[in-house]
Amino acid sequence: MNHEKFKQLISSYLDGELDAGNRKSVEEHLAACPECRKEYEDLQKFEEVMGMVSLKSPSKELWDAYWASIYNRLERGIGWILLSLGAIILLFFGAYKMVEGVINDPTIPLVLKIGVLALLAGVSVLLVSIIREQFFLRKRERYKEIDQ
Amino acid sequence: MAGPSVSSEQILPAPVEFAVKNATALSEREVLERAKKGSKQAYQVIVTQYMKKAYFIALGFVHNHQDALDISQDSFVKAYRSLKVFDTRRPFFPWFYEIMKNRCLDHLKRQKLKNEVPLDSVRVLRTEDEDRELKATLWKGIASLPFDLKEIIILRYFQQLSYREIAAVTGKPVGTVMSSLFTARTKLKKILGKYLGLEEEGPKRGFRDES
Repeated sequence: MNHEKFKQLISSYLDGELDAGNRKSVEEHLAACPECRKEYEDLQKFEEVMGMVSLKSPSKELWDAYWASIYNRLERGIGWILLSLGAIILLFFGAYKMVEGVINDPTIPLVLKIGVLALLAGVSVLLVSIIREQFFLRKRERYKEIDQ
Repeated sequence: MAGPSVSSEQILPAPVEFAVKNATALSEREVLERAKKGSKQAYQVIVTQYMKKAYFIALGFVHNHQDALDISQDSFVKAYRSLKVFDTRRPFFPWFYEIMKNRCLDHLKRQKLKNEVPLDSVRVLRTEDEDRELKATLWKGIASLPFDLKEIIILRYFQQLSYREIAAVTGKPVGTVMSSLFTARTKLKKILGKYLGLEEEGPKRGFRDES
């Protein structure tokens, strides 16, 4: 086995991740090879330095508030859905009432009636198109596909 | 566990007690099943279980307290909304980790586009003055690693995961974990050379040295 391969094994040897057979061959090699022994000692120093580094833990208050922040975001999500739903219902109802009023009013000229209908039909088509696009995007979002 | 009619006042004041009590009583799978059906209380148990792990991994990637907090919390929100496609027979954390890792990657890409290099981050390290320079160098070294090597270093040193656990979280074979860790260590060792008292590996001088 070449030195490079042994150096890689030494790295795992230090982690205590080798099986008995590999452990034994690393130990035998270390006893016989100064170059790899140097690598072993360097790695030990490196481990020492890495052992000194740790990340600062945020305050206890932050952990206590951690879930509350997630909860608020989840609740707000539902809030937005309800708000949008309510707005759509009101919008459609208002439009329906307006169309009813315009159609049934004999004083309004036919051209204006057609104009209002065309306008509302256009808005509906655009709205449906946007909703469909959003729905399509949501379905294709990559995070949803992570289920392996 | 109470039904979905529980108000937020009932849920929020005592999250930890609830979490601890229920985490011991129910398996992760059972808790996830409940969360999947819409129980936020059940999801709170999951979040409480993994929030520190999530935060510290994100901190390792983005090197900034506020961003790590935002990204880890956002990822939990995202995971909750995607729970319906999650197979509860599988462990939660590797699945969640994939979501959070993508967020961290996006964040780092945006930072790179804006040319903001997040290197002034010794503040997130627990540090004493005499070690400050060494730790700063190491931290910058970790930041300069390619993402997949950085990932291995964070999971190994800041989460103390075994090779098998790293493999489970990242979905990589154990052999790849082993060789990536070796590569990452070799790179970092070189960066830390003078602090470790290692001989500088100077550039090869061509034929003169070999004669």
